Amino acid sequence: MFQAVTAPEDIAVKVESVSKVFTQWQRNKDNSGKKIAFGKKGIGNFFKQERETVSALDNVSFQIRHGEFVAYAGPNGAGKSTTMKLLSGILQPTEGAISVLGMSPEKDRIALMKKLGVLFGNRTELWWDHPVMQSFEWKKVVWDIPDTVYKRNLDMVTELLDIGEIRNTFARELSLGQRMRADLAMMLLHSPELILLDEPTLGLDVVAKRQMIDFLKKINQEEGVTILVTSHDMDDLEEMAQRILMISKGKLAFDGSFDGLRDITGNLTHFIVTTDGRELQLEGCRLLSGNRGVFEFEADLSCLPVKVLLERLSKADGVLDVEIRKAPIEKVIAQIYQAWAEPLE
Amino acid sequence: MVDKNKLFHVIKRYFQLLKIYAGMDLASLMRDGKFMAIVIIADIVSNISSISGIFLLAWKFGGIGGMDRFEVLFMLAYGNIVMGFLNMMGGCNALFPSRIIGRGQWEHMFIMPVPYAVQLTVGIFPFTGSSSFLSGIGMLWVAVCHMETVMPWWWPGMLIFQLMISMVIVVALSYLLSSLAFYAPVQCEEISGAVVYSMGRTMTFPLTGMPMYIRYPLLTIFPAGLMAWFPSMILLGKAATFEVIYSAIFALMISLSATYFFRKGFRYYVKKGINRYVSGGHRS
Repeated sequence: MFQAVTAPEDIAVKVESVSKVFTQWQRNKDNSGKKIAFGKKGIGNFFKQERETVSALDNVSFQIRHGEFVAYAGPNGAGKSTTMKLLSGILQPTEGAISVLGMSPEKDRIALMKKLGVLFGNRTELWWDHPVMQSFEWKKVVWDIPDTVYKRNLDMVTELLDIGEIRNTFARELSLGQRMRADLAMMLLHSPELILLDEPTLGLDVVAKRQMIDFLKKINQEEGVTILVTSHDMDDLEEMAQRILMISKGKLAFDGSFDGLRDITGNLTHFIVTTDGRELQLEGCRLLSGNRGVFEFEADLSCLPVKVLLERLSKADGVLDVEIRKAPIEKVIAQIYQAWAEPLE
Repeated sequence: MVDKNKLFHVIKRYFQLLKIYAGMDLASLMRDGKFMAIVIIADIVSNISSISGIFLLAWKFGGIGGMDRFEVLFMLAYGNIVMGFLNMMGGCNALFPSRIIGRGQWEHMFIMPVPYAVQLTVGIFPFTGSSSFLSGIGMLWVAVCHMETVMPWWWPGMLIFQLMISMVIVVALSYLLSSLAFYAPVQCEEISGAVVYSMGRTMTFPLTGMPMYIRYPLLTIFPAGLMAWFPSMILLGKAATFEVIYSAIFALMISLSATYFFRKGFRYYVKKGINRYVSGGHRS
């Protein structure tokens, strides 16, 4: 059963053994999930369709400290948006306890919403048929924001998010990037202590994404705002967050740093070798590409120690330059998702 | 004990919210002069034409079912005021909660630090939604000036009381049926609109002289008769004493039922509701 929990003062979010179960209708499937052929049994199933229980979250526990910038990642359907909705009080858990800023999202909704900022990338809180500024004024009244706080925050978001020129534009006339910036600006007008962002960079171009990331990092570092963000863009997440929570099939699969995440896939490393034009082959390394003397290799440093790798490079003929990089986080994550997607033995 | 300062703050905020919504409505209307004129004229024409059929019949035959021409006009005006006021105060979907549920708009309401009851009652359209209300008042004035009935001193108070009861019944019925939308959001998205608009269309028929099997259902199961005809009979002094309190009792009962079932549905929604997994789902 749902119960309120208390969290120590430095804990902004505490999720304790939270499960969330839904049911969904299944047509033309039996209880084991196998498809039923059209026939006598199929007709029966058409009139009496099966219900399947879906566990969106299964006994998930984690804590986020004040001032942390945490990424929340996982494949499609893993339970990311469900978690965001549970934390913001839009849904209630089937089991377990949630505390956000020391409050229960269910029981202290009004007090909590004064300190919480929520932004879902696929929907806007702006008034569609009004200028952006009108939505800001509306927010000031609804959130009961004092004049001084409102003015200070309005000036700050106008400058940092560069929304001066779009403040008087109707929301329906904004581009996606402009709309996201305006939504983000509006979310910050009441000085939230914790921000929940669900896919904030969804559909943004490179410039808009850069503005968004820089801004989020700035308010996290300078204002101490706690941020929990979901995204499918792992490079973005790695640049923004210090810690990553990964969820798969409703279970928390990883909680740690991005480097720690790389370690569990075998510490993959990419390196680029420039030669004087000669072909190059390295034992224990996989050649990813090679063109006009520039070769990109992949090596697992847990199998091939860096000392051995450097030895082999020094012995190779015609090597002019070596550049070692971390494996792109996208690739690491893809490997993890692939492993999770494989059926369990 | 109620904290007076807190109460004062809540009331003050309520009026602040009304003010901002009213300002936004006026801004929408004033954006374009031609648009403003078209909206107002179209609304007035629509309101007058919606009741003109019944009124012309009453005019042609010197009244309908024991009500003279101006009593019929009074009834039509009463109904227009009820619907007009509700549209003005609740046109921003507060009168149509099934739309809010079906379209997934509760998710916006959850994250606002304002009680749900306040959020549902402040979506006011005082300018774009007032034509029906204003035309109703005009018609009521004309009807009262031409009626031969002498109104006692307490009559204006009774008029306001009956108007409030009729409005409570419409809102409660809308909420009662909208509670179904918590279980089947897509299928029931328009259920409140269907109920309110069909009540609005049916309320214009005078029920005097109608057989019981028509009149009673329209005063109980589908209470369109309580939106205009029944309260008009009370206000015109044509109802028996015990009938005077019937609509008040009905309003109380249906309000309690609506409150119970809406809260029950809401609890189900926050426990079970999510767009992908609820049967029928949400569109958002």
